[in-house]
Formats: sequence, structure tokens, C-alpha cells
Amino acid sequence: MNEDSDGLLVQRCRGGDRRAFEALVDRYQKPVFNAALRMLRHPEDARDVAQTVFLKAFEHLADYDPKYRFYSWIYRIALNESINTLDRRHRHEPIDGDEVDGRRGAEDEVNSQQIGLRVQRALMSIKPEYRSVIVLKHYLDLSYEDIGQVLKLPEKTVKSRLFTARQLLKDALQASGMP
Amino acid sequence: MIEEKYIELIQADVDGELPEQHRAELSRYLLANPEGLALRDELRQLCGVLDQVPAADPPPGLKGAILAAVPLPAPGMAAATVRAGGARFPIMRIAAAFAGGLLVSAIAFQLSEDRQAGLDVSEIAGTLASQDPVARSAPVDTVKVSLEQARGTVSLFRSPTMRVVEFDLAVQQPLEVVVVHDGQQARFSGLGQAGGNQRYALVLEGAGQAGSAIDLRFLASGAEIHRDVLEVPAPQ
Repeated sequence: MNEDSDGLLVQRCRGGDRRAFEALVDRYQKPVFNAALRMLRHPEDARDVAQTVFLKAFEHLADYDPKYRFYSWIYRIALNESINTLDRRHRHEPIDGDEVDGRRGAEDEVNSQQIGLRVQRALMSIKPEYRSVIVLKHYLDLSYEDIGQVLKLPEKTVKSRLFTARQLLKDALQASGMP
Repeated sequence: MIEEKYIELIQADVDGELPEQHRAELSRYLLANPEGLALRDELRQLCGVLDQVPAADPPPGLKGAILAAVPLPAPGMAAATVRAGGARFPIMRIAAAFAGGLLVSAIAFQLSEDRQAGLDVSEIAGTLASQDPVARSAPVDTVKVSLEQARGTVSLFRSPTMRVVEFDLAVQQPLEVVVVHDGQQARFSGLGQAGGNQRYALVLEGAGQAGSAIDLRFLASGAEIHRDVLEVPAPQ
């Protein structure tokens, strides 16, 4: 992660530099979209959340504290927005439906799709607080320290929550027939 | 039963975050405790499954929609000001919510918040190549919007050289509006994200043929929830 250049880009954004903001979008649209997708499952919702995340980030750039990593800040917005969307959906909608990988169609990806669908279903079956740590660890590739910064949790709590989340996920995957 | 301390070390090992000073200790523990070894295998297997899920590419229009939704001046448009009544003042921010527009010769603007009554098309024309002052004209057609997601009006203004579709909406929930005209479309996809009253204008080149229609489609969560039409009347 280019923390220094993130900081520089943020500084330029604050000065009204559109290209700097565009560079941040280029850099973070994929992880932000993927975080939302794994939290929400629906690509359309993830798209809306990703859009809102960047708009909010832009609106609150003045509040961003450069002593923290920019990606921690924007991922926190992404998770919060995703959880807000889940709340609006009442969190407990049926978990069938396969939209998450609906855009992937190549035949050689069928197996990977199957795994992806099962993993996504399993993810949707665990609470958002556990899902969040899995998403941050496995889909955004963050360290314990970074996860702690995103979730504002001590590292110790991150580790125990991640362990519990993995146990829950393993159970859910086994219940779906995965070994 | 595995001690919490070793669970933490095993997990850290799987995640590549095991501190060097604990490596030998964990190795000794695993040699003496098959259940610890089993836990590590189990975690590795789970992580292997999770890692097989590929990252999805963001939808193609996402970046454009994001950039259109932020009120930053486009390159070369940073000093969009016009002269009006002798005073020079900034009047609008370009394309605040205009995303993925395919409409030829159409430009979307977010209007200034302090406009009094009526739309001063000359304000918009001031930022375009050609001036077309039609000060404080009355709309030629207006539709009322009364949805759960948004309330307000969408009005059509006309001058000899342009039409302006003005959105004056109080948006409660995320909303997209698609404007379809002559088989082409422009999409406003950021409505409802900035909060409060939102006023945008879409400028279409030409006066338009009498009786021609501009379709308005309102979408929430990707589904159409309302449709309406603005009509260009015959000239007086």
C-alpha cells in the first residue's frame, strides 16, 4: 500500500485536484467494491455502496487524520456503509440466490464459482461483525494491526474475533457439504 | 483442549504473522500436541478455500459514476464562472451526479443553491461555448414527482438553441434517474447520496421538435419505480 502517496493524493484532493481524487478511486475502487460485495452479496448493492463510500470519503476528507492509513479509513467507511445497507435489508433476508458471481461466466471458472457461491452463502450466514474480519483478512489482505485500525479494536480482540469467525465459517461450509 | 495462547500462535502462523521469537516455541508445542497440529491443518484448509474465491472486478461504470458524483471541477473547468448583473460569482459545479451519459451534446450541472425563482438559462449557457440568454423563462412542461424516495418537480425549459431539463428534488433514499431522448440516454446516479434538496440541470442541444418527448425513468436499487414524460410543445 502506498501510504505516502495516498497522503499526498489526499492533500491534493483537499486542494480541489480532481486528478488526485481519480487516482484514489483507481487505487481503491476494486478493494472497496469487493469488501462491499462480500459483505452484501449483491453486486448492485455493492456498486451503490462503493459509490457512496467514495462520495462520503470526498465529503469528509477534511476529517481524515493523516496519522492513520488512508486505506484503513476508507475501508472503515466501506464496512459501515455495507452494514447500514444490511440494516436496511433487515439483515435476515433469505440467503439463497447467486448474484455474487453472476457476472462471471467462463466455463473454466465453474469450479471456482461453485466454491465462491458456497463461501458467500457461508459468509452471509454469520453475523456482520464476524463477516467483517473475514473480509478484511481474506479479501483485503490486511494484517491484524490494520484490521484493528479499521474496526477500532485492540489487536487481541481482532485475533479472537477472527478465530471465532473462522470456526463459524468452517461450520457453515461443512453444513453446505464442503469437506 | 488447546490453550488460548497456542490457538493465537497457530492462527498467527497460518496468517504469516507469527513473531520470530515464538517460532521455536510453537514448533515444540506442535510436535508434542497433535490436536494443535490438527487445528493448524484445519485453519490452513479453510484459508485455502477462502483464497480460492477470486476478487471481482468492479462494474465498468463505477469509476465514472463516482467521479461524476463528486463536486470537483473537471480538468479545464475549474474556473466556471459567469458574469451576471455585473457581478462575477461561481454559479455551479459541473456534473454533480451525471454518470455514464450517452446523450450527445448533453451536459449536466448541479445548480447553485441560492437561485431565487425561475431558471436562468443564461447561467448555464455562460459555461458553454455559445451564449443563449433566456433569463428567468417559465418551464414549457413540468412533471411532479411524489415517490417514497423523492419528491419535487422535473421541468423542461426551452430557448431557440437549447432545452434544459431541471431536477428539483428532495431525495430521501438513493435514486437514479435516466433521461431518454432520441434513443439515447443520460443517467443521474448519485441522487440521494449528498442529502437534502438536490437540483440539477441537463442541457440538450437544440430547441427540439414540437411534440417530441423526453422520457424520465426513476430507479431504486436498479428497478424502475416510476416513469414520466416531458413534452416539447409547439412554438407559440
